Amino acid sequence: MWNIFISEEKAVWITTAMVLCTAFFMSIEYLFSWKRGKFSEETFFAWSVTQSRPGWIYRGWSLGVLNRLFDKNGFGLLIGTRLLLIALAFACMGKSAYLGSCLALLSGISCLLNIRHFQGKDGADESLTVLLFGLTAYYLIGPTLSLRFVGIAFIIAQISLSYFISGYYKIKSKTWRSGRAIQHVLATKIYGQPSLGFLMKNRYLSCLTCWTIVLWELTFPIIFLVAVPLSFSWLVMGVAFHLAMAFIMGLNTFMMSFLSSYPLFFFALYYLSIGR
Amino acid sequence: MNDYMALVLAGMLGCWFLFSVLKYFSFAQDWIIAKDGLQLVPTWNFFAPEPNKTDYYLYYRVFSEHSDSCWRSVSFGQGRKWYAFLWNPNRRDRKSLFDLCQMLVSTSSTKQDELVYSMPYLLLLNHVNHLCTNDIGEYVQFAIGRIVPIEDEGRLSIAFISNSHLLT
Repeated sequence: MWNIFISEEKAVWITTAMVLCTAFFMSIEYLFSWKRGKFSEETFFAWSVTQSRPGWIYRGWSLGVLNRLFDKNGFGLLIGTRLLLIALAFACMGKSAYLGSCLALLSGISCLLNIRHFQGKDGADESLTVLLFGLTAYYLIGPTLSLRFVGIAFIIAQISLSYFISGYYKIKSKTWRSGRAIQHVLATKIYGQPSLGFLMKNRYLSCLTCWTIVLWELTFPIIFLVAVPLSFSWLVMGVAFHLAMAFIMGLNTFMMSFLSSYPLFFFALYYLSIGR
Repeated sequence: MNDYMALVLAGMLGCWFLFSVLKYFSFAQDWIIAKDGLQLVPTWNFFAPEPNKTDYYLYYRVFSEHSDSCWRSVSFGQGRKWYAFLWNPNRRDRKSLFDLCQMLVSTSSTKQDELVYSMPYLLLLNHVNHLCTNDIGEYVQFAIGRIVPIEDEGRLSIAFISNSHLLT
């Protein structure tokens, strides 16, 4: 009944395909914004101002390189290159070394985009970077060395850490503990859905939702200590959580990037269950 | 890839994860943020400890020594569409404005003269400065409005007002 077997190859293949799709979506969104002048010098993404941030990357020769990459046409070219590399990576699926090289370049571009705008950066950008680097390591190390699992372990560890940290900070917060956090978020225009606010006016429902999120996030890392059929429930909760975030809060790429890692969790849980 | 290179790669990912954990300890946080030029070490505390309770609005005005003008709001287009769960490119704009306003408002207890040189201040000033290139006036000024829907019953309050700056 619970035989949700997923092999290593299949899990990594699905994750890679999902990561590439997420990167594709994000690139199209970037391109759309760039075409509408959102990254021009007239906006609050102005590179001439952003580059004066503190940090070694904004100095000397590296700044020179960044200035070239992020000039008026450079940014569009960077996104175009990213789209080309995604297409190339899809074409190379199944050829570890080529795919690894494409993913390495995509990881580099992901870093550059994170450097380009500290403002507006969100969890989707960070998790995509983690996924790309993890997969790069997996493919570059190659299928014969057992060290390839480090790539998978890295992704799993980072995503588990993300849920745990988020849960830890939430349980420390009085607003989350009181069960009013969801009411607050839903009432705002930026992330909320004021039309759904009535759902959360019920104190018990609001409290239940807040505590479910907090406890699910906080206990996420223990899925590796729980027996297999039960441990899958954390992942099912995760799918529901990310779908809700996408539908209610509009966090589309956040859902895509985090869910991309789930096939690896399924594989890891199955793999560990064999050892027990 | 040979064993040695694979080991180096594995070590790098291990260090990266270690820094991702250490970032949440006060003794290492500032150092990691300062050295992380490539923005590799993630910040995972989404909507925590405090959930987002606030909507920010950006206003600006152009004026001269002897004439005043009305405050105008900066428009970010319409709200979220029903298909935002799939396609939501304006998310980044709104998040960016939110981040910059929040950074400015949360540090506004310090001296305003110092804030003038802060990154959020300069980026917002740059934006409003470009919005009024066709306006007649000598100075530009911006303000951040804030609504906390549940606590303030939807009333707008002014959270920050910038200095006046010569229009360039």
